[in-house]
Amino acid sequence: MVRFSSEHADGDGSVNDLAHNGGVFAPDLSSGRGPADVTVTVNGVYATASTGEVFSLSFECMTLERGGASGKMIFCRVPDQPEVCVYTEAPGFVEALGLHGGAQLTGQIAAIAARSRRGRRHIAALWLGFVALCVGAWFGFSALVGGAMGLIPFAVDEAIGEMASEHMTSQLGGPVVDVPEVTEALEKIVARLAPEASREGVEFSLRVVRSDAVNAFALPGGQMAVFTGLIDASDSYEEVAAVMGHEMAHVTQRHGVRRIVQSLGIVAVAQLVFGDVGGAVGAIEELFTLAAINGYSRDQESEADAEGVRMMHAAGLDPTAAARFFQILKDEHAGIDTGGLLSWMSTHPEHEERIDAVHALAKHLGPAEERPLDIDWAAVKASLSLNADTPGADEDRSSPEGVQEEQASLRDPVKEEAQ
Amino acid sequence: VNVEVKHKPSFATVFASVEPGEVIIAEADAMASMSSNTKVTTRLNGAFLLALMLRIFGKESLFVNVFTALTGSAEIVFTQATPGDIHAFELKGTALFLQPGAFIARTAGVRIGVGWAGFASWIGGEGLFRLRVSGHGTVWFGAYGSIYERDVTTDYIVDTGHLVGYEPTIGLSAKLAGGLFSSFFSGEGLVTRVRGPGKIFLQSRSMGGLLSWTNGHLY
Repeated sequence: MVRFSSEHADGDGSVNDLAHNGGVFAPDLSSGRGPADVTVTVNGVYATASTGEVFSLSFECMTLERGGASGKMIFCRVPDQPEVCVYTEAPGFVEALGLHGGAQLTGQIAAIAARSRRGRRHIAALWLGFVALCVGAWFGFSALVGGAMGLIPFAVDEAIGEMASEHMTSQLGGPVVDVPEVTEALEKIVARLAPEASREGVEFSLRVVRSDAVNAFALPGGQMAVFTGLIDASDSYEEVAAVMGHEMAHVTQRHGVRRIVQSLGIVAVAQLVFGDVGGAVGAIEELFTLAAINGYSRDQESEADAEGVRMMHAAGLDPTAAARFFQILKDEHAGIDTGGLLSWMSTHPEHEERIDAVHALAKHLGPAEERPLDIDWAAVKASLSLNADTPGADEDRSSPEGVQEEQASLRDPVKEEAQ
Repeated sequence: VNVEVKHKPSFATVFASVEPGEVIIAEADAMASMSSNTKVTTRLNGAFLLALMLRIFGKESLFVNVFTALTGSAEIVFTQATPGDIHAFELKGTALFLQPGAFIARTAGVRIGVGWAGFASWIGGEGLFRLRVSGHGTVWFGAYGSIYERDVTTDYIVDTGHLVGYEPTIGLSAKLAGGLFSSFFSGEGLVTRVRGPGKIFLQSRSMGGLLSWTNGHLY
């Protein structure tokens, strides 16, 4: 802060009346130092301590040094009073010295200005380096996660899937449906697609859940769930097969575990850089965990789309069925705004983009020998709606885990789309 | 406010005596005991954003407790989480920088803030951020181990994690403890070069040292 002092420290009436907030080190002061108003006159630098003592330093042989905690503080010393040091970091002080200090200070002021410029350049370089380090760490980190995934056996995916299964069952949104026509049809689809999966030995299991959500999901390890809303919304079994292929791709590409490893790693890196930042890390950790549970990254979704289309093509099913399904989603969800944070976390690429990508990939894969499955989809849908009227039918038999009854009140709007 | 710090340095405890009209502000959970005529009000540690910054970067509590005496003199006893010394510093329109988490209590005229400490501080193990107390009054800060002070006129070298507080006239820079070999094999690694003039407060033990020692005995 700079203010105008009412009178001069030495009362000589010289031109400069600006007082700069600062301080002085002097053995005469009770604690050896104290705050002071620092003024610059044609005769020298004056420090008026808050206790009233006035210290004057002439410009002759004055040495200037830049430093302090901020790195911007100017220290003034003279050889005939080695124990007195006047300092301030008030803006305008160096200019005042330049104005009144004359030729004897010119060199030092130029050196301070040069050092200040160098300092600013160093700080800019450090920030740039820091940003580069963060960017490098991000990409290096992705490579590291890829490497780490090679060391984590698939059994870990299965164990995580098993653990998550119990939690998810309670949040599915409805009871497990056990209508033989439906499960048999879906099992036929899985049996056709599974041999084309990019990873061998994955045991896919399936359950159908009564829910209006047009959705399906897969847990790490191979447990899948298909919502009845998806079956209702589809026009053919191939559209549901395309969604299931997409979900199976998440499993074989190990997207779930990859996200968990990434989340853990990011929190570890944040703690390494910022130390224990307590609540902030907790909040970030929660957010990442939520994101890991709620969805895959946009890249992972695109990868699963592509892998799903490849599996459909290899299995002799229509690879463009996925595009048809996305069109249904697009038509049905036109104008629906999931809004806010959830929509931010919903990382699915836009429907239009996905439809184009599916067509491009199908074209790239070329014509396939179509081997239709023996499924009467209209009959499957009819049996589903028939059983919906008799609620007891769904509860007659238990799900594989024996957990089916809990109605979930927490349905995630993001899940309204196929993942 | 009449204050005495007892049981120094190992288990230093602040015994404050507050008269009606006097105020002492302490971080949440710093109070160990108090007389029944003490009034305690809890409020955010400054404006919301400042309080949040202090919580995240200054390792201070989001809320602070304001202690006043209802009638007559009230005794309030403050302490800190770690064993170690507590030091009182008089601010007379000046300022003092403290390492995050060091602040314990202050009188009414003392302001507290948090600011960027710089890369040199970070590399030297003192953190990217630092607390800044300023104004008029007394501030009490704590450390792990005993607290000793040095009046630095030119340069002084401090090992990582030992610098508790310093005046604004003190400049910090990080440097290697010795040559490349001795820096990495002497156990000293990086150190902080402190440049005066000004006063610095140091702690005789470092939390990092304790953690390394503990980790070494875990397996």
